[in-house]
Amino acid sequence: MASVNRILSPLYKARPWLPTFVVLLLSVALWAAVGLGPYSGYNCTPEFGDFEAQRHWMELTYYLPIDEWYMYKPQWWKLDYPPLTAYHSYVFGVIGTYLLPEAFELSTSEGIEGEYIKSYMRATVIVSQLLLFVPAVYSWCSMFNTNTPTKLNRTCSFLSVLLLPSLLLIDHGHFQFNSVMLGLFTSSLYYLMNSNFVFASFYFVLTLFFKQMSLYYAPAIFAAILGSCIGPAVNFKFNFKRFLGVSVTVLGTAACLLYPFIFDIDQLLQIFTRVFPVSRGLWEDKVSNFWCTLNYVGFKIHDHFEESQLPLLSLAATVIGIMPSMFAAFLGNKSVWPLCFASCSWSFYMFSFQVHEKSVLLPIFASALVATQYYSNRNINAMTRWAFNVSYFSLWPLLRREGLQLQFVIIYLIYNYLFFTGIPDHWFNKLVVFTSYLGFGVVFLLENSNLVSEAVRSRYPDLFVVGNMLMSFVSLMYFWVWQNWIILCLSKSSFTPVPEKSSLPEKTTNAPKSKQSRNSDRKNKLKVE
Amino acid sequence: MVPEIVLSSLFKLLLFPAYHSTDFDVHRNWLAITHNLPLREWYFENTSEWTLDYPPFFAFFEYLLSFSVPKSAVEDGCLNIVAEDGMYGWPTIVFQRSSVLFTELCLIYALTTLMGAGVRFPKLISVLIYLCPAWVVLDHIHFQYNGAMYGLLLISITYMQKQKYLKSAFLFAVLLCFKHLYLYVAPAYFAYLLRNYALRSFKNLLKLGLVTLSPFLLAFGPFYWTSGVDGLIQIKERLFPFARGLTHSYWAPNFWAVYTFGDRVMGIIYRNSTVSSTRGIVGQVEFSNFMEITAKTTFIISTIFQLIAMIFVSGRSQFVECVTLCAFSSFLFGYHVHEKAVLTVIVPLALICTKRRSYMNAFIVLVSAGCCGLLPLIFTPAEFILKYCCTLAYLTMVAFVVPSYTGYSLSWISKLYLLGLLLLIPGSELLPFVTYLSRYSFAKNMLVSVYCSLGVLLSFIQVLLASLFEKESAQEYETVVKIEVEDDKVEFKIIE
Repeated sequence: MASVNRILSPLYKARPWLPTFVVLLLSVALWAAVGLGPYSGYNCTPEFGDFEAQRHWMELTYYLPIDEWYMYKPQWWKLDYPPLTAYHSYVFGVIGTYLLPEAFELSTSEGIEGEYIKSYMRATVIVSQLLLFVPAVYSWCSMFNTNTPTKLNRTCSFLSVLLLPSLLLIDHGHFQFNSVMLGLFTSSLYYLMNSNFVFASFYFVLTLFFKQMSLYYAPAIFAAILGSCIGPAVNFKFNFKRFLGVSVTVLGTAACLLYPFIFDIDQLLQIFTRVFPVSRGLWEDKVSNFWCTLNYVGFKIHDHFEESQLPLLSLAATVIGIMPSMFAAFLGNKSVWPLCFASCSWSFYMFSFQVHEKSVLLPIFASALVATQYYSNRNINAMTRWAFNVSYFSLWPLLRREGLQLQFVIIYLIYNYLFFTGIPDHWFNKLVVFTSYLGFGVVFLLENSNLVSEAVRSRYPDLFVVGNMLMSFVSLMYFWVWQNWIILCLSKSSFTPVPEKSSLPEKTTNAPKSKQSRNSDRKNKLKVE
Repeated sequence: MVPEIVLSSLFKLLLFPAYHSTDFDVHRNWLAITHNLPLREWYFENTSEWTLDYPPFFAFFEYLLSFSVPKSAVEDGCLNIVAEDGMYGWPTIVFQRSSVLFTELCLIYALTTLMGAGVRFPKLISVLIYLCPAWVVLDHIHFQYNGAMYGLLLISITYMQKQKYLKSAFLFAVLLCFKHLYLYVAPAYFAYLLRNYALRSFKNLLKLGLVTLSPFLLAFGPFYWTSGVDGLIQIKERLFPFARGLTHSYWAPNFWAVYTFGDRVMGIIYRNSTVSSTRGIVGQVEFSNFMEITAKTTFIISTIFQLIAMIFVSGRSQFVECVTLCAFSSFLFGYHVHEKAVLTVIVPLALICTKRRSYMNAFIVLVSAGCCGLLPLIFTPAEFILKYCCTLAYLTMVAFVVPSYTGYSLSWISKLYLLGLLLLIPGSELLPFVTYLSRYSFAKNMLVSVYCSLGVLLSFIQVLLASLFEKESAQEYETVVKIEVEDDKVEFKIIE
């Protein structure tokens, strides 16, 4: 039992609703406390960062007519997210110009910094998260653990999503609105699990129109809905009514969201090119995904392939990667669906085009939802918490650069103190988890001590970043493979509870194991031997 | 209690970059003074506006602390005596903030000694005290060393409960040499020790006298040694400055807040209001309609109430009640009371809140009023959400968990008060947006402090009446012991 259950049980005894209420308030306090730290681009003239981008979009949408939103000043943080983000910015732009008019003036306020604007922006994240993320996650968590003795588990799993370290640090530290997208996605998933396909597709279109990144989930959701229309769930009879409902909702919602732009083909093209910039490259910075690791391991991708071939290459790899999860989703076993979405987004993170380190939020959030579903299963929880930590470590170079070291370490400690449940059951999983923690520990120690001399540091400036990246890649790849294995187990024993002990993951999986991952498994073995 | 300590300390670490008040620079300046100057100049030094105005033990404490300042903080200007506000950066902040966190161990230790001090549900009470957002607001945001000070007070109280009179008296004397604020509760110690210990035999009196005087000798002796009587007079001048107003810049939620509010309302009605009270740091209050209040008046009123407590509520089992009542009367009727002093009431009342239904009601009302009354201290926008969330979470927890543990129910009047508070706080934040009221800049703080004073008064009356007229039966005491045993068993089971 995680220590969070022990802490909350006296509150639960006083009133059953009390722990949820207190936990929610304290999470908000924690978000705000992280928000006291610096943000992306803090004091970085003249570039600034995501914070300035969001602030600029708020004033831009407020002052400009809607047909200039996507046309305005491409050199200063142009609006390159889909329209729902623009509408969201507009709402906060209206409130912001009322409260702090001088901080939102289109031409003069570029790169403005100060206590008030910072607090306002931090508050907009918290408010959006409270309105769109919290209710969705709460209803998601109340779907599971419904029998009385484990009712407290609902609150604990709720808290485990609210405090998800990567999300917390990126949204409230680095500054972004990922929680809005993930909240909408959770709503969509909630309705999907309740077989309300109209609402599910409605919310998923909203998700897509908030951030294009949520395309990571799209194939699996598509497969799940398709499976419910013509798949085994309906005995391969075409459920036309359901199909029609979903298609009308998708098209209708998309049309409504694009309505201001829909009559001008130039506008639509402009939005499309801004939202999907093909020219950005295969990955950004140093991401712990397949391509970037391949590059650093010694296989220089750019020497072997043309620039124009890269999108196709990554597309092919991604399609192979998502096949198993799409197939499992198509089969229509609902208890596997969340796992399928997680696995699908993991393969996008590993193989798709133009991935940056923050993209890890999508797969890790889907995995967090899986963990709430199986909150009382120690094995799944142990593995997922390990993946949380690994993905969190993979964000370390970014957050360190922004001066969020203190917040990083504290949130890591708080989360693991609250939710540590134990180590995985199987000896091989134990080995992998242990080795990876050891590896991260060594990299972290070397980076933050005097053991490595200045000469080495200046000769290899990226030494630790690359070390971190390699460790994260191997671990996350293993996690992805393990997750596909669990999907296989669950789909095979359809509608039966999860096996407590997962058998040998490396023997058989239906996941197309890439050469790289097999190597990584072997590497792990070798290391310990 | 371990999880609470771990989580709360981690949370407090996150507050390092938060706003800190001028008290931060005050303490930094004291570090600089005690480190750089010889002892005889400590209380004469006045380069900076933030002169040393705490008793000698606190100065010694700063002196010792100044040796552990790391090199990075020294280079940062942590130990420089400067005329204007200190120039310091992140290393100094980290050092000073961690020293607060470290000295809070004293409070934690004190709470562990509560076991076996004749308190009902000691675990519940220690969690109640430890998690109080007042520590976060005062120590970890605003910046002070209250955790350590109240830790000493608590240890002293538990010694008294265990009938170790000399140890208790000694610790209290030490505490007084750290911070003279605790003079508020000194009458209670005086009366209780006199009645239950000193008057038993002459030997006791002698022992007690020696034990209580020795800390004062240790504290003030060196200053007499180095600069004679002048040194002592100078310390006295610093500790008890004159020319301060009746109320502090933010009105403390005490009786005078209600009084001043009444005067202002009359002023608005008769349109003869001359000044708004104490806009600046220190200033005299003028009343346009009501009687002027002098320091002497406040002294007489608070002494009357303290005498009542000292005479009627100093029985063997009533020490904590006596302390609470003395603190109440000083806080409610004292001259130039600071809102931070409300902790001198909250902490002892927490110790007896599980004893009787009326105490529990009084405690819940007091802790709500006290914590909300502290919130105006943190006025920066960055901590806005944080302070309200912490306070609301804590108060909700208290209002539901304490009744369910003790089996007592909240009275309708407490419920009504809490409900009012719940409506008033958001309302007060919206006040500046009401154009009609926005010209009264003090309206917001005034509204909060007046409502909170009503809460403190309500709580005071409840404790006073209950301790004077509710008789404690032997039967009640027995059940207390029994319940304690049962409670431990239950908790044991839960852990298993």
